[in-house]
Amino acid sequence: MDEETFRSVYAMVAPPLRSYLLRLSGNATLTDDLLQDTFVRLLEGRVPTLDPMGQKRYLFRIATNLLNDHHRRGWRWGNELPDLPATGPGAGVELRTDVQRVLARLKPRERQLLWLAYVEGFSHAEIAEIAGLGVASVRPLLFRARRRMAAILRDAGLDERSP
Amino acid sequence: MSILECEWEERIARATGDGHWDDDLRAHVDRCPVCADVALVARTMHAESIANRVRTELPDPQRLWWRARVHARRETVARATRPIAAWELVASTTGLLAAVAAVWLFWPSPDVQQAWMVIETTTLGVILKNVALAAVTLLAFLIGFGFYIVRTEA
Repeated sequence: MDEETFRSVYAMVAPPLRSYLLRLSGNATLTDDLLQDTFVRLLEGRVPTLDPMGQKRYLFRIATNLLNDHHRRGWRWGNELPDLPATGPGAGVELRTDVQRVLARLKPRERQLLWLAYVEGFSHAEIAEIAGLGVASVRPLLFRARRRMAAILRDAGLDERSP
Repeated sequence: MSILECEWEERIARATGDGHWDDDLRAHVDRCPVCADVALVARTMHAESIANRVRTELPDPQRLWWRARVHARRETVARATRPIAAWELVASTTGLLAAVAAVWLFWPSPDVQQAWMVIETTTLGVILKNVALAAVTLLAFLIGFGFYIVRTEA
């Protein structure tokens, strides 16, 4: 892979991948380490040649595996979400803080599935591939995660805005 | 429509992402509990994702590029020197065995010589003697092979 191709893949995948890892790990330093390791693997030619979406899916899978490896080595997926510097206007900052609290109440697996489905727009088959789950188990897991998050949001009064 | 899913789910999620809502979608969300959850959760996750991207700075891709290059170079060197390292291990082990055998066989003390003769009458002694001789032979071969390689490289 030449440098120009790498830069274009990085520009496309790194921002969403970083958000995903940050939401799952709850640790900015770990997120950056995993992000770098994921792209170093791409550069070392361990990722097969795929179309851009395939490449994105593959990188998400590698990053998830690296996070799982880290988890297996004794580190727990963070339930405490990171304190990120707030830069938006007052009301937005308040909402984001509330949303972060809601996300922190979900299990890491629930956060992962919801993020992949509703932020990244991956299909159930793609989510299964990335998360290392059976395709058939994604639907009920996602349903339960969604119902739980919706209930928490309603309890917290964060559901007032209709589409 | 099943209790777990609704056929409108994907359209609702897509509309939440791109903001293209129409009256049909709004009306459906009002009467379908599954899609109401989808709309609420997807909207919240999107808002969080956008806020998150604005607030974070990515590592420099140039740094990753060079890190991967350095790592790849190290891997290449390690792969190339692996046979040499294996040869060194075999040679040093054989050399050690040969040295022990030489001390044992040629030590000037009559006590050692006598002990050697006694040991030689046992099966274990015969095996040890043959191992020692094989080690000396292998060492000689390895030294010769080493010289051959050095000469070829030169």
